[in-house]
Amino acid sequence: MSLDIEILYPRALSDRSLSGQDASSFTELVERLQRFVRRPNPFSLDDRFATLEGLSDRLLQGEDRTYPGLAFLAAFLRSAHLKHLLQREIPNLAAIDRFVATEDRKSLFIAPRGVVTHWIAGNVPLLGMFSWALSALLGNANVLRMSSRQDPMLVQLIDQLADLSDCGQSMAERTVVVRCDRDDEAAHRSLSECADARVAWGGKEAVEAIRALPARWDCEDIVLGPRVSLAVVDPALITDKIVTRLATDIAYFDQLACSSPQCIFVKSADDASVEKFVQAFVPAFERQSRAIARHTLDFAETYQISLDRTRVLVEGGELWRDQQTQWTVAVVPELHREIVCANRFVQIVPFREFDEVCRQIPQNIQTIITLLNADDTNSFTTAAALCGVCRFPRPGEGNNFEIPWDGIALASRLTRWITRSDPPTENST
Amino acid sequence: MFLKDTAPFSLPLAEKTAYLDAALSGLVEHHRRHCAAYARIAYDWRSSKGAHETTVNACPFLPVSLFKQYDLKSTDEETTVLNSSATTSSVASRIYADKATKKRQALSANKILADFVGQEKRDYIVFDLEETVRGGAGLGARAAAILSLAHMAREFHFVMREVGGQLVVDHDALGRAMESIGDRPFIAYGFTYILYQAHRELRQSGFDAGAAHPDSRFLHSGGWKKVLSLAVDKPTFNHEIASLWDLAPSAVIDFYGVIEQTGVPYPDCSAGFKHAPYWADVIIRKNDSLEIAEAGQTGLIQLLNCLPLSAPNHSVLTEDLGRIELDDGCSCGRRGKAFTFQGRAPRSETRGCSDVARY
Repeated sequence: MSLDIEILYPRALSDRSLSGQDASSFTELVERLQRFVRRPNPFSLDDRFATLEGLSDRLLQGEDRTYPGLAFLAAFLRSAHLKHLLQREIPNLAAIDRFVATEDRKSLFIAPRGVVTHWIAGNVPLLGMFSWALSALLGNANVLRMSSRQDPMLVQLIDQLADLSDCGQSMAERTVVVRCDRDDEAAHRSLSECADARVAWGGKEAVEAIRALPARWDCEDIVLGPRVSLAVVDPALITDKIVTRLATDIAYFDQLACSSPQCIFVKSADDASVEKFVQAFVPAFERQSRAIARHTLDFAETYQISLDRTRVLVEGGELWRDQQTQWTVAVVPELHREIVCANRFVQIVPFREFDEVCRQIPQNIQTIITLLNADDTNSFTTAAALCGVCRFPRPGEGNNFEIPWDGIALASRLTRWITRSDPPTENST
Repeated sequence: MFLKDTAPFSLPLAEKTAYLDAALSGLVEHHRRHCAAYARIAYDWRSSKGAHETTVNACPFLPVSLFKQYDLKSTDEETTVLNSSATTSSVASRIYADKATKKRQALSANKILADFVGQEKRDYIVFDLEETVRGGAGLGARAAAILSLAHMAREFHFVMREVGGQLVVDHDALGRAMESIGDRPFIAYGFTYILYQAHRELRQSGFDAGAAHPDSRFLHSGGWKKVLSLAVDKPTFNHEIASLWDLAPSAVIDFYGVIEQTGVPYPDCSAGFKHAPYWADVIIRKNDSLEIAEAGQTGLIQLLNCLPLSAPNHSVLTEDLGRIELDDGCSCGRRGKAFTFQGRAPRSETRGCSDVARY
């Protein structure tokens, strides 16, 4: 069997693509990764925390710091943040380096899962770096699969990592970045069969295709699939600052991230409260849409915005929009599911009771940004959590990558937990 | 609405613009008064653009897909509904036409096609089933296209039949048609793919029509997707059709049209361009902004015409791509813009990790 897998990292191999070569070439590369994870890691968890913090510094100082999402990645890589995330799942982080006593004559060692293959989402390559960073921090070896049209940004990040320190070099050595065509089943099969864990980022079609690939029976699947997000707001609590944060959450990533709110439910004691919110939100959304650069819409996206605006009008909704296609705010009585809320097209839906919101929460919900008082926050989030919501950040935190993500405790899934009964000590009987 | 003694493509630009501005302005008001949904769209257009007067370049447009989802009407009169061919979306557009609109549409198509094919009535060979045009209350796009040439027909000859769900040439019917036509010029029409398939079948069967009268014309419309998938480009297509009848490739005329603008076909001229008559116009709109594109730039095709009275389909934004090739001065002698059809806008690339519907 021949494979068309282009190796982008390690650099030493990148200029001799595996294209057309025997599948054993890729297998050899994977075996090298497997040898890495079977040997004790020469660097401690603290070393790896420090290395990722160093990478964060580089990202914040680098020329590419305005690259979409890079600031979020840099924030995610801070040591304090990563420690905090791991501690949510792992009570004693020392167990990642060695066996540690957990109770009388019982010890626990949290080993890397092994080789983790990450399928990077279409046009959001940076998302894969979140799962890579966590996986690498936990000591795993990683294969990152990029699509054939993605730019080599990830490779530059791994280069920077390798350049940081010996520990960075070691983490980079445990990383392989490959590129292969979407429809190359043989290539994807190879990437899947070598994996101890598969991380699938992307749309429904993509993640279903990845899950359908053959894998070892004990392979752990982490599916970070197509999700939608909303916001629930009490206009009584808005300030200019908060509304701007909410507008930023929506406008960022061109409203194409799974954490980007597509609809804002506005608590409406009366018509005036919705009006109050709209009057505050529209100028903020317009401002942030201007301030944050957006990709150039293709013809189909441009047409879709025109169509959806017209749909709103035909159905009697109210529309605020620019003269071109930069941003659109539609006030509609119910969440209109056929409208494509992307590329800065947001629906505002008034509600009186939280039940009305819960009824309209889609099955694949991820995030609901909430701006509610303490009592309302408690009652709404308790009800909405049971409708499938994974996170309830406040305005401005919508796109912060947190663990658990999509309701999945990633650190646990990317490790193997090994228990040991310890021999009796002299003092024990 | 048609100007006396004025050929469809003869008005100088300034006169055409003045005509269209006035006619479209009247139509916008008409539909605004008679269609509540359209009134909201027109209001939004005016308030967002700050445009208080309707002109060709400032006329609200409705995306064609809107007609798939909503029944938009500006009349209580009895209407016929035209259904577009359900293409990739599997949902057909529904366009309502009352008696007055249908009369305008027929006259319009007559004038446009006569400019390309001539006034004289001829035998009309239809590469389709007769049942296609007997759709009752709802007519499909194929029927609308076939009937748009009806005014030029002295006699219809349907020359296809259905076998096992497939359209095949009815050789007996074709033989009878050729016998009836003799050495006189005729017109023929078929949907692009059907016409191509029929001629491939005829060629394989050894059919020999002999030399058709050199004034005979083969017209076709509809998508090129299936034909292109067979690696057949336009010159090859024209040659395949024309050579079987010993005609010049220019005797094969592709015309572009959408069901939402029935009555205004856009045939290719001898220079390979399409032209709008004085009662219609074409605007190309840029991606990302929907602003008007300049000549030479590819964009979404907006089509306008002054015919529809029973539904607000006088100005529509299509999902098709086109390009203005000349603002005026086409070598074929027709005045005004010359444009080319560049195919359907491709589907969007998948972007982001959100669950966003793609169409």
